[in-house]
Amino acid sequence: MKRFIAILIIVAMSVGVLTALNVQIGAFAAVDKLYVYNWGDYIDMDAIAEFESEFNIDVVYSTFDTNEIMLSSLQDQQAQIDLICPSDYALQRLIVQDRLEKIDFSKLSNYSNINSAITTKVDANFADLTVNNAKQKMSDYFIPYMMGTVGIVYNTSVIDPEVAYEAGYGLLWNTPGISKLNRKILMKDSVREAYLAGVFYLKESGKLSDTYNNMPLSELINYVDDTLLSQVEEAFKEQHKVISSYEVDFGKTDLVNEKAYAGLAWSGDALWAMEDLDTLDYYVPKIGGNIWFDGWAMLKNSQNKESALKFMDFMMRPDIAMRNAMAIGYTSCESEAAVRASATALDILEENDYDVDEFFGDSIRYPDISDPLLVIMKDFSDDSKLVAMWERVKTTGLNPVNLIIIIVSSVVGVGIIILVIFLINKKKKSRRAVAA
Amino acid sequence: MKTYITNIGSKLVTKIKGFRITRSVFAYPYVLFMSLFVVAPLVILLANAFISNGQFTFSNFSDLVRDGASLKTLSFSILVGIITTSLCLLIGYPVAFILSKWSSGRLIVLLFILPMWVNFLIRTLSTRYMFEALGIELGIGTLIFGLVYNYIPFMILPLHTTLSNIDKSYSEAASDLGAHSITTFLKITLPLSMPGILSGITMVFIPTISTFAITQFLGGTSAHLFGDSINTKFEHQLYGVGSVMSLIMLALVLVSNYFMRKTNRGEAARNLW
Repeated sequence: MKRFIAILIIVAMSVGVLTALNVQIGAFAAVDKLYVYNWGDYIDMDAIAEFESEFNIDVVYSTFDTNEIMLSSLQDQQAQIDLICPSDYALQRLIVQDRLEKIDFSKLSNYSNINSAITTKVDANFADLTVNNAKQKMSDYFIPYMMGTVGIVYNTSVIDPEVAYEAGYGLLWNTPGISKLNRKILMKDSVREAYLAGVFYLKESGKLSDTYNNMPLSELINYVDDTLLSQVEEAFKEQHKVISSYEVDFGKTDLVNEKAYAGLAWSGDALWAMEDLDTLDYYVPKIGGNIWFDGWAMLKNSQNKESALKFMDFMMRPDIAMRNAMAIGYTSCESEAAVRASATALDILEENDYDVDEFFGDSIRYPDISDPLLVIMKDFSDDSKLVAMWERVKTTGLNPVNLIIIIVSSVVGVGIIILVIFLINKKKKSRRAVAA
Repeated sequence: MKTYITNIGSKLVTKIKGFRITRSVFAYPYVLFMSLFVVAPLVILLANAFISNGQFTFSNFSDLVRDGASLKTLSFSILVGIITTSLCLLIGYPVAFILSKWSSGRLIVLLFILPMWVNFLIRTLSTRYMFEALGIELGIGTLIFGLVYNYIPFMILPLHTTLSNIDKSYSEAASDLGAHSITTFLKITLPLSMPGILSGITMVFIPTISTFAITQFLGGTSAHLFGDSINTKFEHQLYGVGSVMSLIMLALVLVSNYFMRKTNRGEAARNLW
């Protein structure tokens, strides 16, 4: 009996280890499943529930925080994921790697609801997209979901709007020299966004040589070479004196709580913050800016392609699109006409206290997509140089006072270690003496 | 053929019959766990360090040296690690020493462990808000404060265990023989508490270098430790360089372990935890 119990315990412990491995023993479900992998806080969860009950499909929903994390988890070719919602450059990378399935538009009834300006711009910008040596249209691979710009949020009670707009990206370097702004600027701790701001700042302040200056914006922003990198690095080192910190996700709160007065932000976050604090405003500097979009795409090894198409189509329904937009605060890729044609979608806007004309007239929410100054940032096939540059920027920053503190304390530290070694040796010697 | 099968069968039977519940059997699940979650990842890490674009190369090592940032970060991290560890020792030793003398020591040690029950992210975030409320600028100073605050229990606990295990009669004998209390401390207590000190140092130094969340909350603009660097590398799918950096961390752990064992040889009170 004792032996039996012991074996039972051992088996139970081993099972515990195996469950940790997520061994799916009973994955034979009768209902269709759909594995959706989306940004965190990037959908109205009620809409998913509605989709589940309407189509009798069980949605297994998981989230990621950055495109890079998403790309890492897709490295596992066997990962059970059907639908993903990455950003433009991540989509590009996946398409080039031949990981995405072309969408069968004949099975979608709502695709005409999508703002065609977006697909046009995307196709024009990714004109050289090739998969297995065959030219491809980017828009064949995804359904646009949300879009926005990258710009600057600032507090109008500290910075005059005209001064801010005049300063452009320079506001992040405090070029207007506003003393209250010093150490109250937030910079995004994101290699791509930072590089973008750095390059635009250099262009704006005329620090770029002619070779770079004569490049069209859409090319310049996707260009990386050692000279440009070192110039951007210098600019960021110069920025050290004025910024408060490199923020990961507390930027919105810090701006709303007036712990910071200016920062680099995505338009959706900016709109969110502006609703919480009236004195905040947002602009994309006049020299130009980044426009981005996220879209739904289907993986090649998806097992549930029919369900995935149903989900995509569902997401493009005007009422669902507006519900998602309301829930997360970003700009939906649904066209204005499609929303206006749907009574339920208009009701949702009204429920959220939006005037329809004002909603679509807001240039922060709906920028002019065709504007050539708004450029798309593509995938840098090799991130390592950028990452190294950004790390060098973050590593420097030892001012003399800190250096003295560090030296003094390390001397103390070394002293302690020497003392310790000295004592050990002494003890050993005395022991030897005793032994002798 | 038939005999062969019966042979196997009887062997199997004897094996099963011979199966005894010895103490080591209970370790099997743990061995399984360890090989899956400790040994296997290490092997993958080692393999990754020598692979770039699917080929065996040493380029990850040269990339690490060439990009300039990582080695700088490493030396900076070691510096921060040394400072944090020495501060922890400077603060922790007297505390542990006094606590081992007091009869109420155990209760007060509990007070030191109590904050550890709160998730360290919550603690660190609260520290950040306190600094902001006090108007203190975030930087190296606040980072080191945060690190010391977070890791000091790991210094105090082993020290307290060792110090309270030292036989009081040693120091009593020393003072009976006329030794000054300082001499007693330096010649008796300090050398005898060496295992605790070493264990404390290892338990603070290595985690400090590989920290990455605390720097993001408390570091301001100037702090970027080795852990952050590894994190960034893996986030951007630079697995090769990231693995090399993790191996460096591992080497540091092994080196400190080696020294700990070497100095600890023959000492009592090895089972501190």
